[in-house]
Formats: sequence, C-alpha cells, structure tokens
Amino acid sequence: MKPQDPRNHDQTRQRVFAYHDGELPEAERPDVLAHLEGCPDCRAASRRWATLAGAFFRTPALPPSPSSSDVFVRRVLARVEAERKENLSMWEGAWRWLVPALGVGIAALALVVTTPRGGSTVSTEALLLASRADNGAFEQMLRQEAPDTEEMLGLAMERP
Amino acid sequence: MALPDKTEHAWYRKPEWTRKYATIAHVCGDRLRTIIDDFELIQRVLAGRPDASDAPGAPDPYEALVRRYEAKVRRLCVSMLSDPAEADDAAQEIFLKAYRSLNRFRGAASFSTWLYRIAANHCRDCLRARAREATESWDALIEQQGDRIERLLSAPPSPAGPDTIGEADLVRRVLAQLSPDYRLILVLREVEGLSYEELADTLHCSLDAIRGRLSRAREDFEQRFRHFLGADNV
Repeated sequence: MKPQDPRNHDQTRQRVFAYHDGELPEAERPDVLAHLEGCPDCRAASRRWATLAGAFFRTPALPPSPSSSDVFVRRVLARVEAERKENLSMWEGAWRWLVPALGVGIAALALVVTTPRGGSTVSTEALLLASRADNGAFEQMLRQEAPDTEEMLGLAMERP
Repeated sequence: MALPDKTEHAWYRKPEWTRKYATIAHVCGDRLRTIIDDFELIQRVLAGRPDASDAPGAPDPYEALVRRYEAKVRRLCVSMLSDPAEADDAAQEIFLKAYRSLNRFRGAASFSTWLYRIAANHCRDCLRARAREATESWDALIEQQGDRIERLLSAPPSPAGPDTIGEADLVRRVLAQLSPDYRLILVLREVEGLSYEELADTLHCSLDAIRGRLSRAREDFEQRFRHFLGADNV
C-alpha cells in the first residue's frame, strides 16, 4: 500500500476505515497497521472521523418510552385495521356488481350459442332473378339451358 | 387401533431434529429463534387467523411484529429525519407499507432486514422530498453557527446524544447538508451500528460497494469540517 500514490488513496482509506470499524479481514490487518504506523495523514483522518462521529452521529436523545410505544402500536394497528376493512368492503362492493354482471354475461353467451346460424336467408339466385322484370320467363329459360345451379348463376350474370 | 398421528412424523418433531435445532439455536443464539418466530407470525398474518394455541384475546400476530420492531424503526426514523413528529409519521407509514407487501416477503433475508430496507428507502424518499424544498446553504450555516460547531467538536462527546435543544438543532442542520444516500449509510453505520454485511443486505448492494460508499460519505462529511478540525488532527 502506497499512500502517496493517488490511485491507491481510495482503497487505502477504505481499508483504514474498515480496520477501525472492525470489518477488515484478519489477513489484511498487519498490512493496514504497518501503513498507519508510517502514514500521519491516515492517522489524522481516523482521528478526525472519530471526533465528527462522536459529535454528529449519536443515538437519539429520546428513545421511545413504553407509553409512547403503546400509543404508536395502537395507531399502526388502527390504520392496518382500517385498511383491512377497506379491502374487505371493496371486495363486498365488487361482489354486489360482479354477480349480476356475470349473470348477464352468461345469459348473453347462452343466447349467442343457442341462436341457429343459417347464414344469409336470401340466396344469390333469388336476388339475381328478382332484379329482372321478366323474372318468370327468364327463370324458365335458365332452368332449360343450365343443368345445375352453378351454370344457372353464370348465365344469369352474362345475360343482360 | 388408533391411526398414527401424522404430526408425530413431521421432521421437526423427531428427537434427532429437535436436538439439531436446539444446537443450531444455541450456536446462533436468539437471532435464529427470532427469525423463525417472525416467519411464523408472518404466516399467521397472511393466513388471517389467530394461532390455535392462542388464548382468547391474544394479540394480533401483526401487533406482535410491530411491538418487536417499533423501537428500532422509530429510532432510525428520528436519526434520519431529526424531527420526532415527522419520524413518528414515517414509522407508521413504514409498518403500513410492510403490512401491504407482506405477501411478497420471500424469506431470502430476515424480516428484520426486510423491514429495515423498507424503512431505509422510506426515510431516503422523505429526505429527497425535503431536499427539493429550499435548504440552508453550508456557507450560511458556518457563518451563523461556526462558534457553536467549534464548541461541539472540542467538547468530549456524550454517548447519550445531543445534550441541549440547541445542540440537537445544530446537529439536525448539519446533517441536513448531507445527501440522502450519504446520510443514510452514515446513520445506519454510526448510529444503528450495522455491520458491513447488514448494510449490504439493507441497501441491496455488494460489500465492495458498501466499503466505497461509506468511505466517500465519510470523506465528504470530513471535508466540510477541515476548517474546524485543528492542526493536531491534520
């Protein structure tokens, strides 16, 4: 560890702080102790930090008293209880509209499923024949000339 | 012939496991017992029922958890926010948040660490919100309070916390100068005494990141007081 080398500075400080925090692995301790021995800068930094921590990072002066603890616990539980009730009433409220909505949905589905799907009730043939004024004679002519429906449709579209 | 009771065959009821459990509990001390106890309380809260062995009128399982950790959470809030009323509100909010997310607690860390993580994040959010409001500049603080800071640094520290209201106010104003992240890690380490491993668990980062952040936070804080810390310290 070379304290003069700025590249090592951060790492060195981290190790020195870890040493003072009691968090340095056993294997690294001799190295840090040797460094501290020869580095007044790191020694001073450790002292400075001890002074600052003692002045500004102390346990709060007023730890919660038993009576204030009780008041605190009651307040938290009252809020938890209110939230439980709110969640419960939300679900109850949801059931009130969810059940009728589900009933309506099922009924609509049943209606759709049971309705017979016959497709178009008016055939193309009928439409073509209906569009002509002379549809009686025309139909007769078609039936004579065309053996099947497909051909009949072809003729109906070709003939003006 | 009576059917064998299935619970008799549960692994934890077997004598060899009882002995093993007792050994582990003895080695790990109360911590392990607390972790297991917390876990059972959480299961009961989630199941929404009191335990069969509970006497009538026994406390709610969540009440037992709140009672166990309220002092710790409130102390962290006071250290972080420096305002007892705001700290109390924050602590209530933390227990409510924990209750809401209890079903997401997977037991990867102890309940205590998990709760502390929620508390740390909540306090940091409070500080960030506060930082968006106008804050006193460091120069103005030094100009007004330089003498008192000097006196505080030269007086032997009292472990019981700031001695007077004026001193507490000074500490509050000085700590308000720190960034929320630096303040959080310094409070968790210096006031709450968390180990590096506990810091890593609470702040959800690696041990190396903790070492680096802690060192930077200390140097940043120290830089501000270079002027006050005499030649014997430099």
